[in-house]
Amino acid sequence: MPVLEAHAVSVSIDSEVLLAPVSIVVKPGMALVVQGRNGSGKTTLLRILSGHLRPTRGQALLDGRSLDERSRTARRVISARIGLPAFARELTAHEHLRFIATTWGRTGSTATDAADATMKALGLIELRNRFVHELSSGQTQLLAVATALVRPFDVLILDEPEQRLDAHRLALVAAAIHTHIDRGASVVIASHSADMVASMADATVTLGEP
Amino acid sequence: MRQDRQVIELARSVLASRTAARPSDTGYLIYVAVLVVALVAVPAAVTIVRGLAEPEVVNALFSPDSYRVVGMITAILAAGALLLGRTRGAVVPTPFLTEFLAGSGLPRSDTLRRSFLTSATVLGCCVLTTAGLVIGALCLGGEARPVSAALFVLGCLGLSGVLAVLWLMGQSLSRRITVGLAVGIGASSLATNIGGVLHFAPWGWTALLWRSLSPGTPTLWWPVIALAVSSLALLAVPALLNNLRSDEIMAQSRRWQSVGSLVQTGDVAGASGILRDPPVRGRRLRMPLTGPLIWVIVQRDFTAARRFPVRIVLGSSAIVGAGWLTAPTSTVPDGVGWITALTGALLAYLGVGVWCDGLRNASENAGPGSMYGRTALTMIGSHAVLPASAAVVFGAAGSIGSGAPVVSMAWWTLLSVFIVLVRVLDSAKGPMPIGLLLPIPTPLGDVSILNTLAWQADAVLIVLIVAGGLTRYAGTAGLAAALWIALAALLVAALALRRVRALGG
Repeated sequence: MPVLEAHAVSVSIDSEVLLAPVSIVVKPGMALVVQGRNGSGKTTLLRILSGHLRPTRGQALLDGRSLDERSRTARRVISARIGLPAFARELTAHEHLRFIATTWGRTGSTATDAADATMKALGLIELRNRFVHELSSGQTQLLAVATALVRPFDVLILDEPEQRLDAHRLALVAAAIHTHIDRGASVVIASHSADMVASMADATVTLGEP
Repeated sequence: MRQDRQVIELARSVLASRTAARPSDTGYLIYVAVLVVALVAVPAAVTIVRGLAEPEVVNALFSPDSYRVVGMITAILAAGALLLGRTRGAVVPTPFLTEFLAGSGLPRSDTLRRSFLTSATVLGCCVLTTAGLVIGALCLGGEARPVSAALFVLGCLGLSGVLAVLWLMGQSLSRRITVGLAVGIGASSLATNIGGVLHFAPWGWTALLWRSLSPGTPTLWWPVIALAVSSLALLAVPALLNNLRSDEIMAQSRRWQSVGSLVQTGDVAGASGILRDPPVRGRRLRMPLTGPLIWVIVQRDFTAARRFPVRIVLGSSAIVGAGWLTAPTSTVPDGVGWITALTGALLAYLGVGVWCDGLRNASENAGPGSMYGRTALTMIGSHAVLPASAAVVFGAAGSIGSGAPVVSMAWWTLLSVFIVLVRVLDSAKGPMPIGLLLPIPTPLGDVSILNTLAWQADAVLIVLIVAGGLTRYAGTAGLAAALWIALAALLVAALALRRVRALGG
């Protein structure tokens, strides 16, 4: 299992600071929760840690190598869900997950099993045949989280997974994530939820105003 | 690698099971395609070929220096392909496929190959169609030899491969590299007068092939071979695809999906708004906003325009080109005169658009609950000052540069006022009347789409018909053309006033 690191990463555009310098280390089997006020740069940090954004200063590393989502290894290792994904309106919830699992090499019944297991873990199994526009906002959020969990990964990155979820659903998401932590995956989550922080965090980092 | 391909096939099969077309859909598609080809494409192609086959046009196409112009246009196309990559790249799959196929662990050279091949095929068809129409006209005029004509078309096929690779390079490589390359290619287009330059680049080889079409010149084989070999640049496509960043592909995917949706619902203004990037620089430019309102608004618009330097330079250059093309002359052949007049009018309309951000914002705020404390008419009128000034100044520069008589300045000024008024009319358009969406059943199906198209394209049609048409006759019937365009300007102003009032202003 790889180690994810950020050394004094910061982001600024035209001298406007979007993320003040921050350093973190996330080891296998560890959950780090990123906290901070709106606009403190939580999402920006997650984008750096997922290799989608190059920091203006500092360095993000995956197992000691510079992090870039163009690398196949990085894409295989890191599963990131930052914002809602671009759902296909013509696919059902289950078809989405099956399709995603298939693209990650889980073919045939294995893909179906992965989709079933993920839906069951998140309490979505009853919604398997719904199209995305037929889901409530909370259900859509759960499906978005499911798209990150249904594929293989060693590092999971989620941006405020608690959005629009009730307490029961939030507990389901936390339990599903714990399953992956227990098998050795590392997790980085940005969250405003005290429950999420209490139930999950091995460590926290609080971002200051940029 | 074989396993990767299998995974892609399996993934696509999941989609195919949901999106596969029904036999009735396929049948309707074939029916529509046959009708469009028979009723639109073939008559249009025949008209274009006959128009181009006129002796004056054929003589212009075979003029001694025409091959240099062909080389210049081809080089500009190549530079344009590079620059286009960042706005609309050669690889723009749906957001869903970008997210889950391009974002998967599979190599992007595999997952994005189909998208690239589709774009490259469309580009190739466009290049071949253009070449075919021109060659068809030359053959109809009895000037081109069949062997040279066939070689030219083959060369264009090779050229389309090079253009496709440049298009992808523009999307995949850094902005610094692509802009540098585009500038280099653009500069080479200006060097077509230097002997030997044409022998070293695909655009030069295309120009040499064009020259070999002329009667009395030897048939050239080597440029075709060179173009075919240069299209081997397609071998770089896998590396370029693997170098693409998912965020940039996704940004384009989402943007073009939104544009498609808005165009389908008839909101072309909204669609063009999506294509205008928000500013990333110039946030600290001083905007004094002092003096009378009209001057305040000019300062606001001018400072805002400086935040889009590339757009402003391109738009202003288009206006200069429009002034050059629309300078009234009575000596150009009829076919060429129409082409230059219509192209000039369209360029002017598009170029003025980059100066109209303030005008559009004023129109968006014309309804109830406006942010502004002045009437919509005052705001819109004041925001029209800068576009009008820019049109007059840059267009006059182009007009003078063309060597046309001083009187052409007066014509350009009238044209500028007219085009800015059409811009005002367009900005105050508001939502499309729902009545235009009512079905109009005909034997060809529902043609209510024509109503929608006419509504969306009314400004462009007005500019082409009035500004373009009258420009064609300004050289021979100057005073009458001036009176007609002044009358048309009054009519457009009245329509614009009506629209502004309908918006609540």
